[in-house]
Amino acid sequence: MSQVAMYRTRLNFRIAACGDSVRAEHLLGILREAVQIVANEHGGSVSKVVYDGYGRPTPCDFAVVAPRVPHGVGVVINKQNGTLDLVHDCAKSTAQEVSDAIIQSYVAIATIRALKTLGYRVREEPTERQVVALTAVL
Amino acid sequence: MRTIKVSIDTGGKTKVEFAGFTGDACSDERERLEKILTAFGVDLQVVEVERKPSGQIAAEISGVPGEQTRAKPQHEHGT
Repeated sequence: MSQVAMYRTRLNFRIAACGDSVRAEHLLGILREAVQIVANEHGGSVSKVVYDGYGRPTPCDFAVVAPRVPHGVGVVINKQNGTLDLVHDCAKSTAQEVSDAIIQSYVAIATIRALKTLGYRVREEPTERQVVALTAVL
Repeated sequence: MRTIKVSIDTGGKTKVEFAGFTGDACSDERERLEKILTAFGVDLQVVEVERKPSGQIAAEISGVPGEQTRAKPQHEHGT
């Protein structure tokens, strides 16, 4: 019986935080790729540090640095619970927008890989800017 | 032919549409996909799972447009 399923998603790096180095590297690879996509979309680059308004650095796992967010919006994997924490010194709404885009890219990359693991041929469809659309055929 | 269409909003809200599956195959495939995504660090909270109408499923499997997927008459497109 064919279905339509709706989900809310949340990134969880418990595996990466608990010391399984192979899986951790795999998840970090997806996260790195997702951050790179968002940095490219914003005409920026990926960094490992963000700055506050006084120029003081804060290290993070990955950060997007772009003209719109010159001090950077960073993400840090919380070693306690595996969640992805935001690090920034800019307007909360701007940081949230960057964070949402990183999550969207991460879910899209993970979904493409998951569908390919199941044997599907996957293509990304052209769509409006705010949505990623994938079609997988077996 | 089995097809899965996925749309992902900003923030990760995700819609997955399965087509061309019969019986329990769709639920099985959905569970497999959810399990792999969880292993990839994506926690999925199901908001809603809706079964497609039987007529639509039959049309998808046979490749013949059914009631739910029937294209509009051409004159409605202004041709």
